[in-house]
Amino acid sequence: MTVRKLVVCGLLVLLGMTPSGGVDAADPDGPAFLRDVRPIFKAHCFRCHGAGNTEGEFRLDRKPLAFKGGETGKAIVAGQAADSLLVQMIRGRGPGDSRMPPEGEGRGLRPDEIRVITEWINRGAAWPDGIDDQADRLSLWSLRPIRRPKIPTVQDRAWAENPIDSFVLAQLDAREMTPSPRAQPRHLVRRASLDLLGLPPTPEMVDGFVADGAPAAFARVIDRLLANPHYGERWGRHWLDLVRYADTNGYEVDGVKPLAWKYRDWVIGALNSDRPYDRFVTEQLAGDEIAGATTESILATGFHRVGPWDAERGASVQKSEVIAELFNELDDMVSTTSQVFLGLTMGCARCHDHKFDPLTARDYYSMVAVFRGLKREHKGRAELARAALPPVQLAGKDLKSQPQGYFFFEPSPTPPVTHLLKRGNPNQPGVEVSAAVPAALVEKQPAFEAADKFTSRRRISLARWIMSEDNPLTRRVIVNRVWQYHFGTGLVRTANDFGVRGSLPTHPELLDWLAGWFGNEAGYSLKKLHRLIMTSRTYATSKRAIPANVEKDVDNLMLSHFPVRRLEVEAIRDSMLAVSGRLNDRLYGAPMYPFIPKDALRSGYNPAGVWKPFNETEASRRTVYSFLKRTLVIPFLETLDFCDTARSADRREVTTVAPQALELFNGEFVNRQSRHFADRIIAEAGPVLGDQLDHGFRLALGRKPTRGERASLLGFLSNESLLLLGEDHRRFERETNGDPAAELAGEITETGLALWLDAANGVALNNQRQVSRWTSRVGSLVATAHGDPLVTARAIGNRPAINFEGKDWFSLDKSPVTSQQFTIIAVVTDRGAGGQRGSHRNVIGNWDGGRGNSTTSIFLGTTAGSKGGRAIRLTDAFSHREKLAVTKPVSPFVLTGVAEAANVRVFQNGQLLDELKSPLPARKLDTNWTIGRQGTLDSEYWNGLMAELLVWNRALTEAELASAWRHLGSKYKVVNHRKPREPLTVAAARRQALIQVCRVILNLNEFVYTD
Amino acid sequence: MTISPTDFVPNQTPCGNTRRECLWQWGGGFAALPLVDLMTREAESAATVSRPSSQKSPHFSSTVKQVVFFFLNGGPSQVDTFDYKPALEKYQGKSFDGGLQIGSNGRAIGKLAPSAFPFRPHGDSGLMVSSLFPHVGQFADDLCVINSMYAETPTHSPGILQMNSGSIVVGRPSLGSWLGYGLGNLNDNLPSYVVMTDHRGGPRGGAGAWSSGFMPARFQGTLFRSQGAPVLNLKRPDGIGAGTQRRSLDLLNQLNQQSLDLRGGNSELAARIASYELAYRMQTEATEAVDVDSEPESIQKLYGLDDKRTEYFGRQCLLTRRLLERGVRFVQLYSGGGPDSWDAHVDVPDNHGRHSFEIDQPIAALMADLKRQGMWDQTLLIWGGEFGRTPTSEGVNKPGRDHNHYGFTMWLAGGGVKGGQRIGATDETGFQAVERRLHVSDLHATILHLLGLDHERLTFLHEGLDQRLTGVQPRRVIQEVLA
Repeated sequence: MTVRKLVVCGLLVLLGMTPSGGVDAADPDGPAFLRDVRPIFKAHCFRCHGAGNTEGEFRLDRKPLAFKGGETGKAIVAGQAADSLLVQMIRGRGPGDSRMPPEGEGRGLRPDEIRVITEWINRGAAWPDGIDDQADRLSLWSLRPIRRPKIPTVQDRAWAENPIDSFVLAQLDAREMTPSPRAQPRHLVRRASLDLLGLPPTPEMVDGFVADGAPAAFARVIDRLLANPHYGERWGRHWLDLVRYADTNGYEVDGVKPLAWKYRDWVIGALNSDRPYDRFVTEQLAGDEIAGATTESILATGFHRVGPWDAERGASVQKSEVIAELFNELDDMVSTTSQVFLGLTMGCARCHDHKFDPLTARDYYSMVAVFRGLKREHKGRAELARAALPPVQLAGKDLKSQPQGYFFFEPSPTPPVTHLLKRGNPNQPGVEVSAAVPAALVEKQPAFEAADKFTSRRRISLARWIMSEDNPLTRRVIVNRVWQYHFGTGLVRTANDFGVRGSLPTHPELLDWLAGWFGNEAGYSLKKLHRLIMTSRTYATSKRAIPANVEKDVDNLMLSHFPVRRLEVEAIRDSMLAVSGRLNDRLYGAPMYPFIPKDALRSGYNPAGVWKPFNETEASRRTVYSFLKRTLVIPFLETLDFCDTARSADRREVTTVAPQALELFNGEFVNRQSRHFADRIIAEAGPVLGDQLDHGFRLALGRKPTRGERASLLGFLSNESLLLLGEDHRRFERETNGDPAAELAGEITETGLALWLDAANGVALNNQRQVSRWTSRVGSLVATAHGDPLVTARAIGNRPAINFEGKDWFSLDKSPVTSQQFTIIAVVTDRGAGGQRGSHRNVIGNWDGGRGNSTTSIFLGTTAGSKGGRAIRLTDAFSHREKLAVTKPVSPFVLTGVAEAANVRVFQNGQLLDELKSPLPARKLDTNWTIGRQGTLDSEYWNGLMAELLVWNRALTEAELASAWRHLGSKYKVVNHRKPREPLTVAAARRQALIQVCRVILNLNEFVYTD
Repeated sequence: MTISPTDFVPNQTPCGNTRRECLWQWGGGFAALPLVDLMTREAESAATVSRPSSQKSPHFSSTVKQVVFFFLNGGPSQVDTFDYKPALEKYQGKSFDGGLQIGSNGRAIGKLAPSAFPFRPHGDSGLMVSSLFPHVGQFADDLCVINSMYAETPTHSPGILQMNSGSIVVGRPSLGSWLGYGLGNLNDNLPSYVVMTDHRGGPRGGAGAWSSGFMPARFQGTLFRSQGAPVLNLKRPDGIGAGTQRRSLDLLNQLNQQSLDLRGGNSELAARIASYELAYRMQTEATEAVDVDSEPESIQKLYGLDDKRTEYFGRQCLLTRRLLERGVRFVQLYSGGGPDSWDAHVDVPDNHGRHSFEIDQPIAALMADLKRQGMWDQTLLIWGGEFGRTPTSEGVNKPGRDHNHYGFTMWLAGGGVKGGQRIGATDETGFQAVERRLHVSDLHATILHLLGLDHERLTFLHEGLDQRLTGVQPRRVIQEVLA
């Protein structure tokens, strides 16, 4: 093999680095090696005393050599800075007053830097193992050939159910640790089901497995689960994390990737059909270049295209922007490919040779050359799908009628020439490079095929090498990933980085044995690999730790017990749907849109239309089908540690923070599922509380409640339903028998009252007895009449009212409302649309489309409701809602609209009809106000009586509203058909209490953790 | 049975996470765990676990603890605000000939045009400020105006990303995330990094601007609304009374605790129990924090809450002070958004006139208030957008200006900042930074420095690299900024 000497890039010596100040004097721990000391070494010393350059036979980048010292003697004497040559040198007191760094090799160290090093040595010169810069590849374990290690002999042979166990037990034996006992069957079946499907097992499945004592029963369970198509959805999502999948491009335009979901479906389908991994990889890299390419294999190459794309730059008229973006796209492809399949962080070599791994910038651009021929189909900033046919079949076809997909294509078999770019800068091209694999990884470059008529055939050549026997990385990387998804942590914890800075395998022999077995015996079958891992005794170990083991191995790296962990957000959400009975298990197809609260939508750049309206049936599909918009991550997913889609994500973070509790306890989704869950329990288990609890627990947790839990839950249920009944009883009493306060006369508060029109006061008539002006009882506002409104005496409650018919309306001389908060109360009758076109009728408002508030005006009015009824509209933002229906509109009623800081409510006769629960979008207020028609429109005239109209320039309080209603109610003898809500029945109270129990169950640690 | 919150003080590591996560959280910034085999790094990590709260010590001491970033979304024009260019008068109507491509994405290239807003000297320092910022101008002696900023793109979305994360490419943590990661929380009941967008909409590219990128999600910015419930799901669900909510929470805690006891106290599970109580407290604390209406009327007036034009941003600035008082680390306020940002292609006088009016008095009010409350020295204020605008108009005799990343202005004020000065300069037209050219990442290095963090030592291991906010190119702290 060639050994590339690693050149420490000049750039990374961090010229001009200026660590500012010393450590905080208050830091009781003293300088830390990594944080404080090493950066100084790196900035000032490594250039001459590091990889490739060992002046004075001294290296400071590797622990043993640093402590050994060089020609001049021992450099570091732990605990004794004064005796350490290193300190003498940096202080300019070396032999012959020599100084390090010497003149001309950078500035001397500042006093604070010297202090850091002195202090560090005096405190013992603690230098953790394993973090040294690597000089060469030979010591990089992951590049060594895969060995087929001998299966170790272990003392307890009966324990080992397959070879995996022998490797695990051997390491436990070596540490004198005994593994935890086997997990109980109900735990095991739940563990397997959540693991393979991301869904809890049905109670029947649990019962079946628990009852079946046969040793082969668990293997049968696994086979059943592997045959279930939900497997592809669960494990496909793991793969989608790795390939940075999303349905939009991100950045400013964030355009939709048309039909990107066909790639997502390909992944799910390929896993369900157990596509051998070599084939799985090759199709994604070069599905158009393989022999026997099909529509399916071409859809697989969507792999390259699902990353982010800055369309604004990529489709710019400025060439420099286009080129810069092109190299970002190529970087996305090189980085993703090398991380996903090889576990190498090639992206690091874009601007300079890799700092640690044997990867050079030349290697990087050789990989760029592999993808250089790929082209994005787009028209301006909008991307286009493409006919998914093998190139050879494209000629002469009507491409529009062919199956479409989302992938790159090579328009020509000769891609543009690729140059090494200095510092990654497209304006600084260096030498020309050809397509090749990283030189340090191979003894001899694999042959890159010659182009054929259609493509450069570089990707298929790369794929061949990636899957070749000579490449030890690919198999190690994939078996490690599969292991990680089963156990939460890989045998190598850094699944995307098998380089120097990645971690070492905890079980190197096991990793190699699995890698070898997977490529040979298993024929690259992932399902066989799952089966092998899951039928091991190691997998079946109880999750309970033995205390002595915790002492020795607190992080359970040796797997003495099964590591529990929180489920991924998809598994949490899907399990909730499964348990509530609402899971829509339709497979594949176009994305669905889970519920996003309005407040979360509003923060976006362009809120209108970014998210489709909520459709519960669709939104109840599995989470993997969610529309993934890069600039608007679904809050439920984001809060629960969904992965970043900008780059390949090799694991999900598990954070435990308060917003998750808020989402899972107060959020819309969980509360909705809790209601469904409770209704399901009642329907399936009947009315007996104990049966309900048993059924709920079995559905959600695969077990019955313990005695303690049952006592707590029964206590809660009976207590809670009694409390709910009591609370409701008091409410009902209050509403029927009358609140003592209701007997008091009400009044109109004049604080903030801007307009008070009363048909019995302030109405001026012309000589035809038509109304000419209507003057406010407070303030100075005057309404001027248009049309021929008349006063009807004894119209409402024996009092006069203005009769609006035909085109009667008033204009106001000034605006009554100058803030975003207001209250409007009108005493009216509503005779319906009458003869006018359209169905809206307006009481009052400030609509003026010509001046820009066609959708942002304030108005209160009615319109046609369902079944010939009337619906109320309080601005465009609060209308067309089922609950905004008027009861008995032809009888007089008191209509109230209140816009508060964070809520908008509409009442009829003091009864709340509906509330918005968020503020109105900002209203435009600088237009003129009208009464009885819609602003400047010659339409939407009020058709009915209006006895009184009040507008406050603020939101009234509850008490003020109640007082105003009492006043108007007695004044106009308006029948208070504020019918009290029916009292809660015992059954309804019990249902409410059960919903709470369901909410609690869905929030239990046990529910959201693996078993 | 009711269980009080204190019954749930979990048997856990000091930061309330699993031990593994603790190591990661404490050691991660500097010790970058994956470097070291878990079995061998005990010595280094043992010390780091013992710190008492979620606050972390900076690299070196600094009085500055908190940051407010006024983000003028869309790109404010420097020659109309803080970069006085009298020469534009004499060049009026002439073409710009600087050998650089003017503007963005092929828009019409117009002629040089002077500002419609007169400049005059302010304060003892005589700093030139245009008539767009009369209130802020009163604090001229506190402003450190950097006239020689440059960025890498004339496009909004990557420009906004760069100003926030140092990179024009998505996927990197933003400034607020780095601060949270490097310095920790001051108050665990509130988010540490708060973002408030304009009522007309958010910035282009959306939440990418406050993303935590490759860092865990807890470091990302939290969107705060200045009215009503400030964060999502803070209110209990419809139809569930306060009593029911509390009793249900108690039931959950009780059941979780029972199974925790059976399991011998997994600290991650215990932390999850505690998080529900924290959420419950957050409901009170966050709701109380946004209660701007409880401020005295004089203060409300100071911030312009009595004028509908200044009310929105004023409310956000006043809320900012309340959040700073409660220990929020980083507050970012977006001025302009959705269809109406500072992106004045068509009409600078109208656009900048309106937008500056909305924010000038509120910003000055916050400055005065921070001084009055004794919070000035611990707070850093940052003002600016993703780039500036051209000194040319867009087209002939048109009052709009195009994007310009070759030269633009930002200002800093507050703790640790030397006020009353200008740093660097653009050419005489105001187009390109020529004197003391400063990259966005130099500004980032300076901001970190002001908070006691060394930008070269604040690293996070990702994809095999010790990632930094300031990237791999050499960047420097702008020494002149420092008081």
